[in-house]
Amino acid sequence: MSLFHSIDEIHHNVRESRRSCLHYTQTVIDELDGYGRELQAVRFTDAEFAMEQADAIDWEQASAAPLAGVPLAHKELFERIPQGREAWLSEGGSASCEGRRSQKTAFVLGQLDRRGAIDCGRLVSVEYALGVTGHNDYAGTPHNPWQPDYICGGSSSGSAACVAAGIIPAALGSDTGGSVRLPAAACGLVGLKPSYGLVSRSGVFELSSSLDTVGPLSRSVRDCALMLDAISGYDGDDHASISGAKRSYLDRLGQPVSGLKLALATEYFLTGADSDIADRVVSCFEAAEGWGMRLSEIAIPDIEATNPLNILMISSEAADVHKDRMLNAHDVMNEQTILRILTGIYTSAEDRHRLAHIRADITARTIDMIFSQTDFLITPVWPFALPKRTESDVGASPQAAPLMKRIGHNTRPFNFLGLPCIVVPVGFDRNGLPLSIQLVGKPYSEPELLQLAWQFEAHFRFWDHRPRGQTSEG
Amino acid sequence: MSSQAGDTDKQIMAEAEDAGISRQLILQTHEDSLELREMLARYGTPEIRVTLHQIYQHHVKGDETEDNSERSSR
Repeated sequence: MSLFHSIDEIHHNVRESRRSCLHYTQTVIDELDGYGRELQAVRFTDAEFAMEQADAIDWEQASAAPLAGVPLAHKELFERIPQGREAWLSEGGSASCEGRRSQKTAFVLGQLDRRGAIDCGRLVSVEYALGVTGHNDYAGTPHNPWQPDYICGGSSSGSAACVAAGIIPAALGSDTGGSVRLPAAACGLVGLKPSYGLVSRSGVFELSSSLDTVGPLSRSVRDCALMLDAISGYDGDDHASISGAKRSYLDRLGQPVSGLKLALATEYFLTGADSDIADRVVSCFEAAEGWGMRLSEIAIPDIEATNPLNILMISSEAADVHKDRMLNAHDVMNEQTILRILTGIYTSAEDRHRLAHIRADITARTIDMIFSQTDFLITPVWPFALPKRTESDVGASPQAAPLMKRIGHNTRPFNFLGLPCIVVPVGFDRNGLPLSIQLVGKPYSEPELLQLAWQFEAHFRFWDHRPRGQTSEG
Repeated sequence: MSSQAGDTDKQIMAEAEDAGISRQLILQTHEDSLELREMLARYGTPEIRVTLHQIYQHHVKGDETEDNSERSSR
């Protein structure tokens, strides 16, 4: 029986009866080991550690902390060394790292620990977080809880599957080209990619240091805001971390959005999407007029270039990190991973330096251009209806490769530009799978983005829908 | 070996082939890489003197709830 409880519900329930905290944690562990493994979404649980955490909560101090007593689990890239115990496995979803242990505890996990959240284990990632479909021959290819024949998207595939299945209210993922947003959208979840420098990546298995971000996947905008509130903040151990960028992420939820400006990104984003997806995005855009938003259309010069430049940056930096491992252990790696790393292996230091300059140049101009006209952009997330697992397995069918490249069409540009984005489910596609929009804001506008996402959530009420066969425990 | 490959690329391709990676995969990814690097070359090197970090630092409002004393339990 999945729980489908929000963070507030869990916190309230356990605060009212301390014993139920242990019960809640045990229930989540059982669900992860049962339904979570059935979905191929779970790498491991640590019941002993989770129960110790649950037992150790000081309720007098923790009652004001909104995450106290809330059991969570995260993408396997988040490292942990529990005090006095063996470090958790940190294999990056790859047989090439079999048996590798965590080197430190991720900064963001420390933030969650201090707020009383309980860490139950690790969820499947695509190998090295380097793939958008969710396929992983070694760690597992999670099934979409809405329809098991379909993919969850990637690379935070296990996080998306377990949250959508109602086992946990939220999970952390990482997003370098869309790896929080694509699985969140595929599974009917809210997913947030924060602004450059807002959330520390220290202690997170590295893919591309210039582009990696950490963000939450959740079933509601409020849970997303609670998670961001916990994990954001300056960390001197992350070279990209920016001091003073953290703001309050809960205050604006439910506030009216009248007077704010929303622009429909037409060229590239709408033209690159299937017509039924584009039509749905346009209807969401038009709905915002009823809330008093000021609407416009926008074309963004250079946006087309940001997608391949992002691919080049990821591939080059991933090659830096993983080249030796790939040369020595390619026989146990997924073909999709080898393809991406090989593509980046030729990039010279001079080219990488030029790429960093080009990125700064395009970003400076594009931010000025977009946000002199609007407060937010609206775009599709997936450019086409979600494919089945068999249709999108590049390892088994090389003809799926062009499909893979197209999947990140709407997400990669915003990693390149460093802008904050949130995806919100608004309905279903022609196959009955969740369909979402992407909202994009100016740097560090997460409070306003969450405010607008809350408005879409309240309007479309996707929260009322649950995957087939799932019912609430209460 | 691709006729378009320069000496450095040829060396990298040979290293990959020696490691046992399939020739087809090497050629395919080399073509993808050439395409991406040609695109990069078209941009030249912009005159910009700021980094992405500086651009983003400029947008910080510095207004609210930062708690820099917080550190993980590493």
